[in-house]
Amino acid sequence: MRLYSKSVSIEGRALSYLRQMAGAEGRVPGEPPIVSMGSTAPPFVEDPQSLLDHIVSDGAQVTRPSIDPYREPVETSIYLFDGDVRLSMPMGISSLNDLPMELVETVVRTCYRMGVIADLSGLGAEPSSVAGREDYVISGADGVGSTAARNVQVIITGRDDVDPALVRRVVSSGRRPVARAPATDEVELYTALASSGFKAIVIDEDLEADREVELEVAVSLCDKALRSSGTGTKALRYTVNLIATSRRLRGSGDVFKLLGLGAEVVLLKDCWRLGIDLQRESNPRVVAERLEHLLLGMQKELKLLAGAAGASSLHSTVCGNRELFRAVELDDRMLNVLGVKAAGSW
Amino acid sequence: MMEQFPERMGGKEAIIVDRYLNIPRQSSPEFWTVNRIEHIRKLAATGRPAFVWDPCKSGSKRILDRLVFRRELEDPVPSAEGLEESDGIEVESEIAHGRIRMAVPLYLGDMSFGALSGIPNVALARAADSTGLLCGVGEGGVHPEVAKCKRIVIQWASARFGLNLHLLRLGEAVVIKIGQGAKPGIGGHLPGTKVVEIISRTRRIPVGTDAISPAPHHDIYSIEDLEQRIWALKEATGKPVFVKVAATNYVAYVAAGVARMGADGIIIDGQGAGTGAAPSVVRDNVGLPIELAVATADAMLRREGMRDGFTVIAAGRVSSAEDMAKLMALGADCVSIGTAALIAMGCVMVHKCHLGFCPAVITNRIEENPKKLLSLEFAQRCVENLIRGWTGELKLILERLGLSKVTELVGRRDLLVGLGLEEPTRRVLVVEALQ
Repeated sequence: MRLYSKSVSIEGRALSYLRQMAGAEGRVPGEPPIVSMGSTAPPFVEDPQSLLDHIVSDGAQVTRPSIDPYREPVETSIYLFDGDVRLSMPMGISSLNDLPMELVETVVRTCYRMGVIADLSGLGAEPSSVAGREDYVISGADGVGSTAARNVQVIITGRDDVDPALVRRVVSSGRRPVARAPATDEVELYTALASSGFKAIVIDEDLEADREVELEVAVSLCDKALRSSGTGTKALRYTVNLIATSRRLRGSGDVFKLLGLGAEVVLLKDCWRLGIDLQRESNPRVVAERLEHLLLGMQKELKLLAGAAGASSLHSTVCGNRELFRAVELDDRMLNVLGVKAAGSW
Repeated sequence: MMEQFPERMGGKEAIIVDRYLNIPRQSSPEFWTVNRIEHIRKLAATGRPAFVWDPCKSGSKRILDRLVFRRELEDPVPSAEGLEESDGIEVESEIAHGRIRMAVPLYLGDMSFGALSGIPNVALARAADSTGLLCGVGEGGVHPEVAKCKRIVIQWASARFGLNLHLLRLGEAVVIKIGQGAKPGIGGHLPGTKVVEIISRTRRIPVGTDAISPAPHHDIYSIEDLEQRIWALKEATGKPVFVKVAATNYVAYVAAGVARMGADGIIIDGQGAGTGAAPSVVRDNVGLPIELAVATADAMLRREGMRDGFTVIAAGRVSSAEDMAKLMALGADCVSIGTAALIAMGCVMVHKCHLGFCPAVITNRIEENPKKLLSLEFAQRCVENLIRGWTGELKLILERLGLSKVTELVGRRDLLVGLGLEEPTRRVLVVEALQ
């Protein structure tokens, strides 16, 4: 079912750009890396590693103006949970479960400061820094009662696992139920989750399923299925937020394209850890600083991409707007699944 | 301003660079492979054709490299060694509704004074004069020696750095720069480290500040706005006006709009094109390859009945005469080369332009007392030779295709065949698959 493997490591240029932004490399932390001469990007020079590598973004010109991201505002904020929570950028930090509690505390604080979500999935205990920052935390606990967090996730791996009673219990305790589901082309799973009251669906490519597909495919299919369930603002899509994550995601280019395919938030896993060089750096103060720099740099990159495409707001103009994108060298079946036109077609 | 000229340096400390550096080992994938660089160096050294069919395309993932002329499959001889130079093949053409004659339809791409360190700018402009091509001067004012050249094209870009009426009237044409292939939707970018005294004076910006041009022209937010600027510039200068855009999703509509609003031609710059500085995220994720953009723009212009007399110039990764021929077969009247010309002068593709310490002294920061200076005579001769050798290869290709004029090649998609291209790609190119 898959064209590309999901176990791709982040290395080479992609890794260097992340490190430069985080300040683990180079001298201009928090800024989009500047390069020169022609691109070596996939699929034209380097080997494509994912469907994302076949997708290119638009540059607005003449028929509509681009927006100058250095001088004009480009809104990167995303509203979640019916507008209750405002993220400053469409990102979250995930893959914390093997870190010492001291670092988890730091990451939760830093995420809150930066206005992004911290995803504590897989974490047994909850760090004390969650208190007062619950809106920006997806709790690791998959049940009710043990946690103070308001966003609680329930891990779902198949349609039969949806337990409406559990969802009701979470809601009645004043929390927001979040489902974590694998990337699959069985979209009934996603529509079932949305109709049973979950406030957000995390499509996690690293979860296993019988019928696995690429994250790109799952996000696009899920977005389309939820939009076509119900009409207008009554469509299921407007009751639930779509969050995408995978270990292979490399940075803001990938985030931007996943937004275009329908996600509202992308949770970063390996890329932030490699960017701040967590393997060699465990001082919480440095980790916090690097994470802030990395997020700031990525936010600026998202502004560059949105501005170039003439979009002044990620949430209202980029999310689910496949028309901003074109695909290079994919076949008709895949173009149809993704809902993206072929590069060069009108 | 004369201090940049080695012949006027008074023989002081500077080493005059008049030979090539060794090509460094390429540790990661690169479009400008060692083979491509060596091919260009061969042309630049001899001024004679090296190949008929470009062997450097083998193994490349670029779409253009997976298009071949049917003729090559029948007659694959690649080397030009021992082949007679083709006689009687006409490579001259007229562009901009017949107002500009080109000895060969090659345009030396818009590289600015500041991005390049002066001597390369002069070498390119002088080479264009001596060979009968055109040289775009890029954004941000003109080097005083370039201003003395005839066959230059003045760029009117979003920051309007240093522009005035006198400057606009200097060249053969004016180009309204809307976008560039390396960073569609984003403005020009000259890092502050390269904004030295002379650049500060030409661009009229403070020394040491980044020169980041606005992403859009703030007086061009629509096709109608563009029309007003096109006609204002035509009236002010009396010259043909081109519009340069990046290859993007709506490039076909943009091309139709540009033609409808009275421009004389469009320069379409594709993904992968060179740049002096760009954010990596934009360079690597935005824009279409030129082969798709040219094919779709040409088709739209024909459908709208606006193709005649209007000039389509294709830019971005044009690395050989075969690339040029294929882009013309897809619908371009002329192609633009930038990186290839820099390689002819000694560029070794280390991607350091934005830092200002180019080992080949092409894109280095301009110094008051430089340690090394590019030889103007060497640079100019290499570019002239490249153009001659390139033209020789083009003639050999045309001869094998059975064409006697380069203009007959434009839009001849039937001469091409696609190797292993996806169906949607071939639909855009309107090229058959190899059976």
